[in-house]
This record gives sequence, C-alpha cells and structure tokens, in this order.
Amino acid sequence: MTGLVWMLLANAGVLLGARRLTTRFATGHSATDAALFFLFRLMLISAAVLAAGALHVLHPWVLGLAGGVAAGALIAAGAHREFLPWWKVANVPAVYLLAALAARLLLHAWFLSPFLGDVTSYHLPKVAEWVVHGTIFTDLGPDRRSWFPAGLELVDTWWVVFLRHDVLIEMAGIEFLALGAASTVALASRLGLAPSAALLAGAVYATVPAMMIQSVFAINDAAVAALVVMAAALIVGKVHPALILATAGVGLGVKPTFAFAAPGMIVLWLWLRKAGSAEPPSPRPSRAVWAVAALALLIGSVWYGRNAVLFGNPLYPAGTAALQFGEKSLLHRVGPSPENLAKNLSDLDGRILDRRRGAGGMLEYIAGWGTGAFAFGLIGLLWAVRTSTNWRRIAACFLLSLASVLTLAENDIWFLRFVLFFPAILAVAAAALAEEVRPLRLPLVLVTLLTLVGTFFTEDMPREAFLRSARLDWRRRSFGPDVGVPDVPYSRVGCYGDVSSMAYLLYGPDFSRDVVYLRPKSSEELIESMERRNLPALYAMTMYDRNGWGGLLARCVASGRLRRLGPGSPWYVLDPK
Amino acid sequence: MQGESSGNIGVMTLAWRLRESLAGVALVGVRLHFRPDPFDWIVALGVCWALLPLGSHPHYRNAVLCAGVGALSALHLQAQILHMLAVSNLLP
Repeated sequence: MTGLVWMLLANAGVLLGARRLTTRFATGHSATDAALFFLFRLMLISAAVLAAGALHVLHPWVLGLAGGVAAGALIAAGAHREFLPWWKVANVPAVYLLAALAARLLLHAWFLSPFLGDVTSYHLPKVAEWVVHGTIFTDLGPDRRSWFPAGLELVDTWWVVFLRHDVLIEMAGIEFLALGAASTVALASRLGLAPSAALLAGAVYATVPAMMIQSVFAINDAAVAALVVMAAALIVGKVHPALILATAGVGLGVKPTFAFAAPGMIVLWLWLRKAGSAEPPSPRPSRAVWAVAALALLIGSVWYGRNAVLFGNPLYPAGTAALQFGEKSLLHRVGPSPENLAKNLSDLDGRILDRRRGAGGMLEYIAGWGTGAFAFGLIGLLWAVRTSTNWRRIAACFLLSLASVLTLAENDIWFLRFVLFFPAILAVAAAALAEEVRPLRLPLVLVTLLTLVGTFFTEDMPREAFLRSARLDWRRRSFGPDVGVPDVPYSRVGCYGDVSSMAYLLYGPDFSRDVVYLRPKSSEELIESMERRNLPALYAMTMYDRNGWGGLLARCVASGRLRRLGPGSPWYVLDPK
Repeated sequence: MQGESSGNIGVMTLAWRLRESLAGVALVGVRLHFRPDPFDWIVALGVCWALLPLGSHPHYRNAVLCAGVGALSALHLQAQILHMLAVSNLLP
C-alpha cells in the first residue's frame, strides 16, 4: 500500500513535470506538443531511475518523495491547469478505437507477465537486479546481451520498483505506444489531414498488431519504432533541432536499431530544410531546449559509454565473439551488407501478408503490419505519392530508412521487428485515403477494429495460456512453469547459465527470491561456490552449450553432490557430503 | 493533398499518363515473370498503379482505389482470420 502511494506521488511529479516542459518548449502544433509530452515524461522517468540507480537510492520512497515534492512545487506554479480537460476530446470514431485499444492494453497489462525468451533472458534480469539491490551497479545476468542499451528497462523499472512486483511492467511499453500514436497523429496533421483523419491515422498505427503486441510483451522494438516516427513528425514539423536530438538520444538509449533508420530521417531533414515551407515556423524556444537535448543524449549514450570503457566496444557484445556458439553466431558482423538487403527484401515480400504464423511478440516469419496499414496504407501511399510532392519526399525517406535497416539487420526469422516505424507512414496514407474516398472510411474502421479484437490472443499467447494466467492470483502470476522454469521451494538459488537462460523468471513476480549468478570454471568450483554462498539449489539453463557447460554439470552430478530434479529439469539441488 | 494536383489527373498530359501506366504494367510483368502468382500483392498494386492515370473522373479513380484496397484486404485477411480463429481456439 505504501508503494502505491509512492507510485502515485512519483507519477504525479513526472506528469506535471512533463506538462510544464511541454508548455515551455511548445511548438504551437497541438498534436506535436502531445507527442512531446510523452517524450518528456519518458525522459524524466529515465533520468530519475538512472540517477537513483547510480546513487544507490533506487527505492520507492526516494522516488516517491522526490516526485511528491516536485508535484507540490508544480501545482503551486499552476502546472496542473495546463492539461486538456477530458470533455474537450473530439467525438470521432478514432477516439473510440483508441479507447478500445486502451482497454485491451490494460487487460493485457494486468493479466500478462513477461514470458518471451529474449525478454526474460537479457532485458529483464537486470531490472530484477536493480530493483532488488537498489542500484544499477549490479550483476546483469548470464546472457551477455544484457550489456545492450537499456532505455526501455529504465521505464520497466519505474513500473515495478514501487510495488516491488511486475504486475504493471507492461505499462512501460504502453507509454511508448502512446508516444508512437501521438507522433503519427502529428505526422498526419503536418501532411494536411483533418483532425479526425489524423486521429484515425494514430489509431491505425497504434493497432498495428506488431505494435500492440510488442508493447505489452516488454520488448523494445515497438518503442524504438515509436521514437523513429516521433523523429519524423518533428522533422516534418520543422521544430527546433534540439527536440529532434532529444528524440534521437532517447531512441539510441532504447536500441541501436534507432540509428539504423537514421539515414532516411537525416535526408528528410536536409530535404525539408532546403525546400522551405508554406507553414508558419514553430515558435523558437529558449536556449534551455539544448539542455533537454543534452539530458536525452546523456540518458541514451550512457550504455555505449559504459561498454566503451569496460569492453573497448560501445556496441558490445555485437561485433565480438561473445555471441559465438560453435557454428552459430549472433551479431558477429556489424555494418551494412548488400546480402542482408537482398535476403531481407525477399523475406519482407514473403512475410508481408502474415500468412505463415499468427501475430506474436517476436514476429516470427511475419511482418505484423495488419490489414489496415497494409491494404489501405499501400494503396493510399500509391495514390498520395502521385498527387503530392510533400508525400513523395516523406515516403521516399521512409523507404530509405526501411532499406537502411534491411541493409544493416542480419537476416533471421525476426528481423521485421526492426522496421515497425514503416507502418506509421502507411497508417497516415490509409487515413488520408479514407478521408479522400469516403466509402473507404467505414471499412478502414471495421478492419482496424477486427485487428484490435482478433489479435487479443496471439501465436505465443493463445487463449488457453492467457486464460490460465488470468485465473492465477495476480500476486503469484508467472509464466515460469509454462516455459520450462518450474517453481521450487527455495528462497535463494544459484543460476548457472549463458545465452537465453530466462533467468528473470527465477526471481518470482514479487522479486522475493535471491538469485546469485555463478560462473564456475570447474565442477569443484561450482560446488564450492554453492556451499560458500549458501545456495541449496541451482538453476542451469542455456540455449547453446559452450565452454563445457554441460560437461561441468554432468561431473557435478556424477560426483554425487548435485542431484537433478527430474529428467530434463533445469533444477539441481545440492546434496550433503 | 494540400493543394497540389489534388488527385486531379485531368491536368496530366497523355504522355505522363501513359508513362505512369506503363510503370504499373512493367511492375506486374516483372512480378509475374519471377513469381507467377497472379493473386499477389505487388500485382494488385501494379494494376492499381497502371489503371489510376487512365481516367480523370473521380468515380473512376475511387473505383480503382476501392478495388485495390479490396484486393489487398482480401489477400491479407484470408490468412489473418484463420490465425485469429486458431489462437482463439475457435476452429473446429
């Protein structure tokens, strides 16, 4: 209960702070300002978690107290009067679509808990460690991909630290989705769509299956996509470059794939600068806007700086042998490759119809763009680029960004999650088409609604699994047993793993279990570490056996000191001498 | 579309219209050569691209656009609905 109070206070402080920053650096374009509000909120959250974590005070009461003090000061300064009253929200179909989307997302947020392999293996173990130890200087877990930038994890931490429970962890992705939707509305509005059509564009983009699903599956590709769309909206709106840099800072901090899409955005910026504009220029904010950009760049670059210092490679473990597993290697080669482009384009062609699989968190073998963006969007884009120079420019730059990502991304069964910014321009084109050709408006709304309802259950979270999760007591809700991590009656365990060990599931949804990561060189050292650190049980799991991982475990079992809890179980218990 | 040609293809020259149409025809031809599947998304786009400049009446334009959207929607929805039913455990 105390945690809930701290959470409310901290969120009040951040909401009011973001609103005040939006007022201070307003562009005069309401949709763009709405997107900026979400960006500032995410920046403040990230800065708060990062600062508290760096100072070893990542505790609910510290963040809650700071938020409460900030909220008090901002209310005294009148920031609470700057919010738009809810009754002034437009009464158009897109608003109802967005309301239905919000209901779906909240249901998912409440009833789901993290289960995807990547999420539980390298995104969230560090969140668990940060929350348990109150600092960001912790063991990041056995999967070396934990060293990748962690911008989304900062916001994940915000949503778990107060309650010390992950029941609301999906709210982090939802915040980024809101930013993506607002940015799409802003982009549509800048392209001349009427407010109701611009809102429909936002709704179509936010209901792209891949965006909706990723947002509640605690994975960061939708978040990056939202920030690329935000950058595009700011560039098209010709706002102050510091605000574009701020977006880039936050984007780079979430995932380096933000930079993959940069070429198209840079060309767009140069092109529009040269072309001039019929629109009145945005009001020029004070020089303090550069401080906002500097803060965002600091938040985003901290991970790269850390890796450069520790490993001599800002992109570690990408481009190193750290992710090499015998013949299989991940991210070994960094940089553009025509082979990547050819393979990825061919696979985009094969996956764009989403035939092979249903929508899922990792987008295996599918694009996940949905019928609204795909069918209405492609035809709408075709029509729009024939009739408008502005559209031609923007579509060309989105295509350049798409090609850039496809040239840089390794070809695998999931790479289309890196181009989720592209459906945004399709969503805007779809709404523009429906605005121009009236008979298409109702079908677009219906198809969007069908997508919204029809993808509630996903390929990796079908109805049975979802309902089983929903029936559990929320305090103990975890997908551990469903994905091969059965619960054990120990409050303190060791973890001996490597890539894809799903270590996050060991902590429990309330982070009540102590997890100690072990990296033994020999079977004797493993047993000795468990005895010395008072660990009665060991969780051992990896996707690829390397460095004698399996042999070491086998020797422990053969020595009679470790006993496996059933055939195929990842759990071992320490037997007395 | 913000006051440019506003979709009014009547102002285009015949040569421009033919060039545009030929681009669509070429797209369809290339596609059918490499992947002979006439019920295909690029073919639908190419046909739409080829037909769009050939008439200037708004009803004609709307018909082409609606037909294009219909073709692509049918292509996308047929698999989508099956997947939706499958994950919802609603298939017999």
